[in-house]
Amino acid sequence: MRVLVGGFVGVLVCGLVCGLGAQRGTAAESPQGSTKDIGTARLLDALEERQMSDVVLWVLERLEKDPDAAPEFKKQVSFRRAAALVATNRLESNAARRAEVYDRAGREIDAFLKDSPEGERAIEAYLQKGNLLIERGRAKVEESKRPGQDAVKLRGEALPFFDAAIKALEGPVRKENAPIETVANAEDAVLKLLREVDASLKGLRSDGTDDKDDAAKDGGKEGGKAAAKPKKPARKPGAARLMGELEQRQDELRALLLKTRLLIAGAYYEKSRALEPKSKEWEAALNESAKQYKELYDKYRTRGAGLFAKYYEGRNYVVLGRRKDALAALAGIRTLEGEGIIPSLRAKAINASLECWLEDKKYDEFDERLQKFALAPLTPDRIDHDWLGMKYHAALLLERRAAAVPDNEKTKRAPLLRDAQRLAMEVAKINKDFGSESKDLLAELGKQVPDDLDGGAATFEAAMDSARARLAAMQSRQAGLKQAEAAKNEAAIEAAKKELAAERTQTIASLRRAMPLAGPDDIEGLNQARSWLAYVLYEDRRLHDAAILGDFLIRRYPNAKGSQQAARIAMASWQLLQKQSVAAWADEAKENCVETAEAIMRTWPDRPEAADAAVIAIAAATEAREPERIVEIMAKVPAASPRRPEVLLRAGGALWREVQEKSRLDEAARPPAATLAGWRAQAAKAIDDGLAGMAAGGGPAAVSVAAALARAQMAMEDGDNVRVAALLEHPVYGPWTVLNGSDPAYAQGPLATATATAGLRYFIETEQSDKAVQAMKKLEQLAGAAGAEASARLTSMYQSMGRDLQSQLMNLASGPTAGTPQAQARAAAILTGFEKFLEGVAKDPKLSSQMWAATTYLNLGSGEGTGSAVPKAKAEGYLDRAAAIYEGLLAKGGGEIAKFEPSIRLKMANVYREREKWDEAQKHIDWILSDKKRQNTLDFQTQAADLLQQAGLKTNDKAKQADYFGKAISGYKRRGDAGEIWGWGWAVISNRLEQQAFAGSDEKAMEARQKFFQARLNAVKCRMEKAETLPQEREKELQKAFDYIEITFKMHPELGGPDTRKAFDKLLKEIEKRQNKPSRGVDGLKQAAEAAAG
Amino acid sequence: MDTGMNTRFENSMATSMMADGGWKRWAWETMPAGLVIGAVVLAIVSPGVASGQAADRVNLFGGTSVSGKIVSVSPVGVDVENSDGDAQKVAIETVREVQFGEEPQSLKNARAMLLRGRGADARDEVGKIEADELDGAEPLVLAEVDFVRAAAAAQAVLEAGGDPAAAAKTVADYLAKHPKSHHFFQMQELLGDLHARAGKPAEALAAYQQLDNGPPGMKVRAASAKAAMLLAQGKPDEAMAEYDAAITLAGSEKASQPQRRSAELGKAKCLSLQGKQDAAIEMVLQIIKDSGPEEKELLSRAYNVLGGAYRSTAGREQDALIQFLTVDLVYNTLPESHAEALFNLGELWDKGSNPERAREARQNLKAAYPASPWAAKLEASKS
Repeated sequence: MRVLVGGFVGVLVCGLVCGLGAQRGTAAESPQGSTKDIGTARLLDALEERQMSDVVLWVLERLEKDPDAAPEFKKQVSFRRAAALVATNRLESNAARRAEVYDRAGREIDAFLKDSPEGERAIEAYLQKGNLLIERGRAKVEESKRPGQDAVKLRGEALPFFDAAIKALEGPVRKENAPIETVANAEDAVLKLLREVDASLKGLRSDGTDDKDDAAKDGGKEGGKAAAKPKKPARKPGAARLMGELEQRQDELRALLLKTRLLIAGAYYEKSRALEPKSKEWEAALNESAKQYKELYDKYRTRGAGLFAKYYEGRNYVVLGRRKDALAALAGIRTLEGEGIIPSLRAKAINASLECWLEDKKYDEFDERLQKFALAPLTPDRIDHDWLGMKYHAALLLERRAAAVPDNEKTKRAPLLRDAQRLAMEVAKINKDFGSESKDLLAELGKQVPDDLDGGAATFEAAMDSARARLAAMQSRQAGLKQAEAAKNEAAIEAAKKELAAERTQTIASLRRAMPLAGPDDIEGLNQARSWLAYVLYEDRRLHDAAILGDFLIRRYPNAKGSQQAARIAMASWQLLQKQSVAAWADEAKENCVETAEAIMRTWPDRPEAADAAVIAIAAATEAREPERIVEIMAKVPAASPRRPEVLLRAGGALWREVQEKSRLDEAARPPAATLAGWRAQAAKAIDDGLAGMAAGGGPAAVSVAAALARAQMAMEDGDNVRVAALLEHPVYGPWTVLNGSDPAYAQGPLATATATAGLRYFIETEQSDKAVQAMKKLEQLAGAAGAEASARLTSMYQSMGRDLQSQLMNLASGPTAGTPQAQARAAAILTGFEKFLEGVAKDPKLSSQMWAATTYLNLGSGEGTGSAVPKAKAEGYLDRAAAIYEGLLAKGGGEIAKFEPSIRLKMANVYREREKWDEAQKHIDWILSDKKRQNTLDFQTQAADLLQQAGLKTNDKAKQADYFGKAISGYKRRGDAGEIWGWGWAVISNRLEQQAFAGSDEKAMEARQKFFQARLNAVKCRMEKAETLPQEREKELQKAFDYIEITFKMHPELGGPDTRKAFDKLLKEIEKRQNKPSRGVDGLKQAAEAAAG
Repeated sequence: MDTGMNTRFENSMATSMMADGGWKRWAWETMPAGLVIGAVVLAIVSPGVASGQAADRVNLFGGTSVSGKIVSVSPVGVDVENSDGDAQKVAIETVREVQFGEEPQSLKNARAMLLRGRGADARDEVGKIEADELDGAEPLVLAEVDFVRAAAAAQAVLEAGGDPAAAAKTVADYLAKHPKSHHFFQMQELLGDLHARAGKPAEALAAYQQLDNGPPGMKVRAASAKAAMLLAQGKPDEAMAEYDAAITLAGSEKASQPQRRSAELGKAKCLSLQGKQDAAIEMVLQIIKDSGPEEKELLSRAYNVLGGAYRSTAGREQDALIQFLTVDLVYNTLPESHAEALFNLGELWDKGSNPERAREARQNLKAAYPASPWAAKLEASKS
């Protein structure tokens, strides 16, 4: 018989029924079908035997779909699946998921029973169902006892489980030998089968003299004694073998009937534990349990099962407070002699009796014989609740008896107290059940309890018991701290914190003592200890240790109990460790965190932890600029994962950002258009799926809003205005909706800015002027009230919108529809919309409006790659219009404009650069760089160097070119009207950036790093161009360019990541080619470095 | 019905499915009950054997036996005389084992070990025979000792490595000394296997060719043996042609069906190696369908082939695991099949994020079959 749920009465019953006959073999009867079915049945048996429930589920899934499998065999699927599901729950730590699996298992059993309500497998199914329900009820009752739980609610939730269990197990009361029409419970299922066997036997026996006995024995609950076997009657010739088999089967079924009835009686007792003590229902449940145990004892009084029934009858009386009845019931068991189950039974009975005597203050009832039994040292196999209870209660009773000894007989006290101490010390040292009570008693007796109770544990099991007790104590301290915090009692909080810290230290020590004691067979326990230790270390903020231990379990024993928890701990630990101040350590923690996350995704792809891990892995892949990795991660998130939508939204958003960033790279570094289009399509799908999968009813989540914005940007590029409107103004997660909503969290920050920018662009294009003005105002608000910083921010926002607009126009110019009349018409429509709006805005004399109009004209006119989307003449017109507005502003002058003069001049420099009016552009740059403070602004210096580089590229005069490139590389200094003008050039820019770029891996540092490498790339490009303008210096300049890359590689071998490395490689190969050397590129530098290192 | 056939010595029709160079499966296919024996066999206890003298016994596939006095043997059969003096010819392809009434116990044990694929143990056991135990022994018993010695030495080399050339010489010597032995064809095949292992395909083919001179079942076996060698050489296309020949030779004759299924299994393996997994899977499933549930050795090889086919099909790793687990937990009596399954389980569990089970499979492989090529492959994969 397969026992679905290991705990509860099953364990007890198993031992008891053996005396009544052997159980049916455990192996499933092989189907009389095909070889394949027989092989599958044998495999399932073997897998079940080895507790490989996960594989059992795979096999059953395939069996169910196998058209060739015998229908009879297929009937077993649901039954077997139930058992497998319950077994898989062994590793489940999440209560909700556990309940879900139990529910599913219950449904599977019901499905089986609906199809096969009778027969041997049905009996198993009813018993499994009963056991399963009792276990679930018990779990709720146990949970109700934990600190901080709503005990009444949990007990209320337990009750239906017990009622359902009783229903699955117990048959209705019916008259003796009344027929069993419909079988719907274990008891009837056994009885019906038993009656069939009885009837067969009756038919086989020649005289039928025993028929009545059989029927009476098995007929009902009121059945007669089950004592002796019937006399063997004379048998018909040839029937002997069959009769022998039937008699054996009869014995087995009787044993099963007894087992079922013990379970029923036990279920009533368990039910009482979910009821309010002393209530009518509570009494009824206990009385019913006691009554059923009594009946079983009366029927099987000479068997082990009968004796156990008697004990439980007595135990129920103890709980009911019927101590007289209890003591009477237990009297016979207390004095039993024998081996096997007898000592345990005695310990139970004595323990229960001691409780009665203590309550009644009848200390002398505990006689010398019982005392001797209680004082016998415990062997490891006897360490359980009953034995420890007996010893503790015996100690307590002896202490009370000593206290009751009159003074004139006080010499009698010493031996009593000595025995009490001995008993209490034994229990305290084991430190399990009644451990703390025994310690209290010892304290009363003036006996010091050793602090390090588990120090002497000789076996792994004993040491683990101690560790478990420590862990429980630690959790109790945690609950204490919570209570103190809830009460806001500072003194109590401090004290609780100290106690908790001390308990944690002891728990760690206790677990570390236990672990080396583990033998080869203790691997499960050892892994449990590792998991606990990881948890306690995490709680103790020994994060590195916790993470390492957790990682060890993930990699080495991912299927051990506790490994999933350890995985979560490892990931959480690495996440916290990323916040440490030493940058290198934080980086290492980040790398480890990603590795752990990936291991979790690989190991438990279907678990919620995998989705958490996916979020981390996506963040890491985003930071590492690895879009392919993002795509891989998306593919790995299971369809059923509750966090899948969130992961898809994050991944889709990240992928879209990558597409945007990579699209702006130089052609050499830019991925192929098809790749970008593929990523874009995947990003769009991920966001669409993610938004569709987000739970309805909740408020907007930042991740949904951000993803919706990304998707709206894509739709804008596609010209899908219907989708843009639906996304931007979605009632729940629409970015425009939440920007204008009441939640202040969405009214500020980068997301709000991006929303306003995108909104402005969209509303202009669709000629929704009111909303466009509203969006502009939002941008102004977001930029801040006034001042240079606010102006810069606003300018940056305009630029951002301009870039998006450019991107949209570029897409029309170079995308799949490029050159088509539709694309041209759409581009024209966009431009017309903008022109119209910009001219309207430009009429507004307000500085911000003027700036916005000019900046947008600049962006439209300077769009590289807009190609056919913005005709050259139109583009030049936009630039001129921008210049006119800026010049107008400068001419107007005034306090407010003076504040923005640097910004305006920078813009003008850009305009003139686009128009290739280098001197005019340089004039404005020089004005900017004539001020010491502005000289130190990186953006200005970058613009200055870039201007010179562009001038060099576009000028035909070689000498002028050489001059431009030289200044672009090394900078320049000259006297100006307002002071010394200093342009740094790319070399100084990169030097200035270096320290910040490699100080850490935060966003700022990464941005600086990117600029650092870009500056060095530009320096090399300028050097190469310069070489071509000066024939006599060519070789020298090329070598300088080579050396510059070489030194960059030596300092930073990663060269800023794959994209910039590729750019350096390309330049280096070009230099080598021009030098007539083999083109080895960066690999050549690498090999040279390795060769130099030996 | 448990025909309990475990090694090549148990039948003379099976061929190796191992394609790794000759650690061949020696198990013979299980004969379906009542299929082979037909008119030949009934369990006969010979009343003609003198009281106190143990009868000789010819155990047949299907679990029955013929008792009496073995009067002569030849490559194609065994002649048994019953108490009435009637002679009965037992065809060699129906013979599972020949026991001699007066043979030493160690000889009997050693032969039983051979039947179970334990060549090294058989070699040790036969070494226990004392000279005086063979005093006055009949020539057939003395020849049987030679057979077990030679076969055990050869089997041990095939199982656990060693010098195949030396073992081949021992087998060749036996064949030269006992050209009329009832073990002739099975020793020729063993010789072929040793040559194949030694990298001498021409010699191997010459040895296998000898089987073509035997009864029809032997021809099927010869073709299968050649095919197995080709498969081991990494020539699935050529191997498939040989397997097809074996299948054609077996035809629909009832007695040859086990050999046919064995050849079909070989063909399925070839198909799998050619990337035709669907066809391979279909073929193996049909073989399983046509087999009896107690044809454990055939089934163990079938599930391995099935596992291999699933393993090389993307996304079917769980199916592959199930097949190899079927071999590991249900059909695990054939050492090389079991070792192969354990090896695959080790790799698949690793891929399936279950390092505990992977370790267990590898440990089982190393513990149970330390000298097998699969254990060696395991070691090689580590380095």
